[in-house]
Amino acid sequence: MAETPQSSPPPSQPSSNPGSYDELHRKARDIFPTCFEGAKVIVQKGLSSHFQVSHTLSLSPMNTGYKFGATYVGHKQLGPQEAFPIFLGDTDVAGNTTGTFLHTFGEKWRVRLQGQVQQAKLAGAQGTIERRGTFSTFGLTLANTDLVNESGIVVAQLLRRFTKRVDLGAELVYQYGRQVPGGQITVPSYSARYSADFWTAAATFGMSGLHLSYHHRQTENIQFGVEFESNLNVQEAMTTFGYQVEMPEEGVTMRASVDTNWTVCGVFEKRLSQQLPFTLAISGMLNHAKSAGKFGIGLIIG
Amino acid sequence: MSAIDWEHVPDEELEETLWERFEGLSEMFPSFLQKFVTGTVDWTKWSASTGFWLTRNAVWIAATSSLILFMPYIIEKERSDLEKTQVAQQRQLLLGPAAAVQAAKSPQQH
Repeated sequence: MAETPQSSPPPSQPSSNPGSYDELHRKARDIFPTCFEGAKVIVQKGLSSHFQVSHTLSLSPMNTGYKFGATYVGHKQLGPQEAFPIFLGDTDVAGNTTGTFLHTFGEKWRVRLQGQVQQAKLAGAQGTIERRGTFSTFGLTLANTDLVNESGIVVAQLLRRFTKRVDLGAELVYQYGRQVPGGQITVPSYSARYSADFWTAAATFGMSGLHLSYHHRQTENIQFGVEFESNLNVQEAMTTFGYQVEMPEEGVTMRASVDTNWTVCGVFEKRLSQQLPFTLAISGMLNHAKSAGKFGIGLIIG
Repeated sequence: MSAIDWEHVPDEELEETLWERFEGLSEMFPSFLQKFVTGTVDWTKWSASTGFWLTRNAVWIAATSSLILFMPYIIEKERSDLEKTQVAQQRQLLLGPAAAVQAAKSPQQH
């Protein structure tokens, strides 16, 4: 299996390509819930097998508003879950828009372009080229490149599979511009990932801090995740413990997390009917140190 | 307030409360014992009040955290288990005990 090049590695099987560098800590991070506040209604409608539209209405103290999102998936099918090109767009009433475009050339090269417009100005733009080879992934990203002011960020990433269980990688971030002290700054960082049958451990360390994550699949429906993040620039560190439980027959998913900032957060999702596509989501968050809590309820249609 | 020279105050003018007289009795014990008893009583008072404060906060934190972290899943699991036993009981009533065993086996095979 390791000898033949696979262009579309299914995410849960070990295949010869180690995946993208940004996805190293993804497995543990997916366990943790995203807590929201207030009421939220999301209507997702597929207009065809390639085009999907979503309307999000949120009522909360932080942001009350409406967002419209559209997704277009193209015809080039690389695997059971992946098809290209992909266009993702998101706008809200004030005109703030984000757009993402993904495509592959051949089977090895992937391109991703992201842009964000806020208040009629381009707030950020980013382009990534990635080559997914048989055993390695090499990515090059240019972010916020401003030709007029000569500033920008260049990121080069390399992730290589050394044995069936061990992946090693390195990343180099180069930022140049007038605001940067000294005109330019380079930050290297290194990472390693070990995948066993039931658990995965990943570590990233560099000058800006240490980031560790651990993911454990206890049974088919129960998963645990632990993440440790530290930032030496602001001298802060945080550890998060989380778990995810699913009951697929009922369509129930429960995710919860506890972290060292004395915050507990839980999100419970339940499918309201077997025939109708209604999902109820309730989220609760409590910060013991500040005695502050947030409650959210959401309805997802479609 | 001017310092009072307690040695030369005549006995009739000394006014002591009951507790002060009781405290005065402690002078008959050697000083290490006085310090030991005082230290023990202070530590007991401190540990009782801190223990109470700790228990209060621990119970509150444990209760609210379990409410957020575990309660929805536990309620849902109880409800679904109850529903499954009810369905199995109904099948047993309708079709006999063999059907209930078969129904319990068949979801595991899928």
